[in-house]
Amino acid sequence: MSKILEINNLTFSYPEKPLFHGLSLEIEEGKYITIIGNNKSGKTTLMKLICGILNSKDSIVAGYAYVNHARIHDNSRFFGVVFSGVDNKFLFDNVYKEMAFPLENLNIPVPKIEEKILEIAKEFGITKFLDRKIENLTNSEKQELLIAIALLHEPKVLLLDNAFSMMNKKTKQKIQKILNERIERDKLTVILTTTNLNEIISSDYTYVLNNGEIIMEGKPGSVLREEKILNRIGLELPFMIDLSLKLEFYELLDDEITDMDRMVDTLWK
Amino acid sequence: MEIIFKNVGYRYKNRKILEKVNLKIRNNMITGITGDNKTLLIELINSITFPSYGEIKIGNQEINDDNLIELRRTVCLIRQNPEEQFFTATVKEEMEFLVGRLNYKSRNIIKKMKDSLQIVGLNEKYLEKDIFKLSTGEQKLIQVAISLLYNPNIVIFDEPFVELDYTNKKKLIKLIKLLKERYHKTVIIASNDSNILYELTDDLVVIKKTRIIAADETEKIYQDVDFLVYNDIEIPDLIAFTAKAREKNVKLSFHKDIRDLIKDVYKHV
Repeated sequence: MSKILEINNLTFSYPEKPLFHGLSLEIEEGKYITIIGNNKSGKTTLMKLICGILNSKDSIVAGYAYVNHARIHDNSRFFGVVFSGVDNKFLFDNVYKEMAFPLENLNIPVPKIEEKILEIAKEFGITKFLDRKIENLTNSEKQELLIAIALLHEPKVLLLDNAFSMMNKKTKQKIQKILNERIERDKLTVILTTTNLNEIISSDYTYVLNNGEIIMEGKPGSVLREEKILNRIGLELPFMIDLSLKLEFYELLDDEITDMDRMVDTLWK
Repeated sequence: MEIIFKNVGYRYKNRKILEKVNLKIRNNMITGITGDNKTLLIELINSITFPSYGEIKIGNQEINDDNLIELRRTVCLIRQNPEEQFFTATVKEEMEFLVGRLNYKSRNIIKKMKDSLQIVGLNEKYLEKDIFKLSTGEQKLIQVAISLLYNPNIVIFDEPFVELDYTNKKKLIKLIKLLKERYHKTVIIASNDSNILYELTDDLVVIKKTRIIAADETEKIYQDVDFLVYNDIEIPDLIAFTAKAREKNVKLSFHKDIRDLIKDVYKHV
């Protein structure tokens, strides 16, 4: 497996507020990585540093090049980015125009643009949205659209900053499936930051960020067992994991089970 | 204050957005609103938007031109993104701006400001802090503190828990309970987070497309699992588990706390 992203000894601070001091991590191509932390842990800042919006002073290597302002065009093709929230994110009032804009900027011919948009709309099942007005979409649909737009130019790395926060369960599952397909097929690398521990379960590897420091890392299963550490930094265990750990404690279960059907079947055969 | 909708509808360019809304929101209760067009319903209560037909009564008064300002002041609306609602640099200036608008006597006003900050669990140092540099969680608390200065009867939160981490969520839940129990406010929460709505609210209003399909006590609505599945409403985890167990003819009861559920499971295994 080849490395797609490397962060070496990253140091960054806002005026009056130090944040990262010597953060290092490596991410392999075609993985689904989650970064979890509370509201002030520096997740969004890290995302901005990775995609080059904030200057990382040559401590981030994406592919084989440093991320810095001189390569802003390369960076924007390499990364697809969705930041948190849905306000102030759209330039046009119409979904189709909004989707066409980033492709127009890449000098792609008009017939090709149409083809691409229809293709991705079909993949996401949002073909019926295309002629709708953005203001008439629900927040969940807006977040779905933002992810579709970020994938339009086929980036190598997709950065999602709390991008599932307003999605309903069904849409979330659908997007997870699409992302997994793309990870398999195109070796897309996904980095998702979140405050919701439910969202890390399906990922390959998880980093726990607190005050600009990685305090824990590993497979989601092992991270989720550290209930005390997670609670201390302000994270809530997902219901099924919480229930499973408590039932194990009372010796009602032998193993951790995170699937509700399976747990009920095990408890009452 | 009680809020009554009598046959209210809202249309936008002949499109039906809300139709035939008949609703009574009880005084001094926490009411949850879930489903589609939540924000519109909230804006109707705060008389930012006016209905196309029907009447809305707030505490026995129908909204008209004469009492518009007065009724707006009985309602405090806290939007999903609190930054939209701030004008000035520091918390103190923001509070002074409001106090100036309300023609309060300046004596004791600083003490009032400190008191209202204390109620939401922030210390007086926050008066001098830059409002835009606070975290979203703190901004929401500040917003409540500001509203307490003019003492509204009704406090409305639009998607308050999105993007908040566990610690901030817990703080806000505590504050909402305090608003109801000690300050006797009528609280309305628009959210799609079924777990929190189940834990926190007394009543629930469910909107599907243009119609209100259910308005009753929260427990009654959430315990009717067939109704939830049929209408595609998120089921709270605690309810879903009990429902699964009941399918296997295990006589579990519905619980609001995970510890009670575990005790019940213990009895039935």
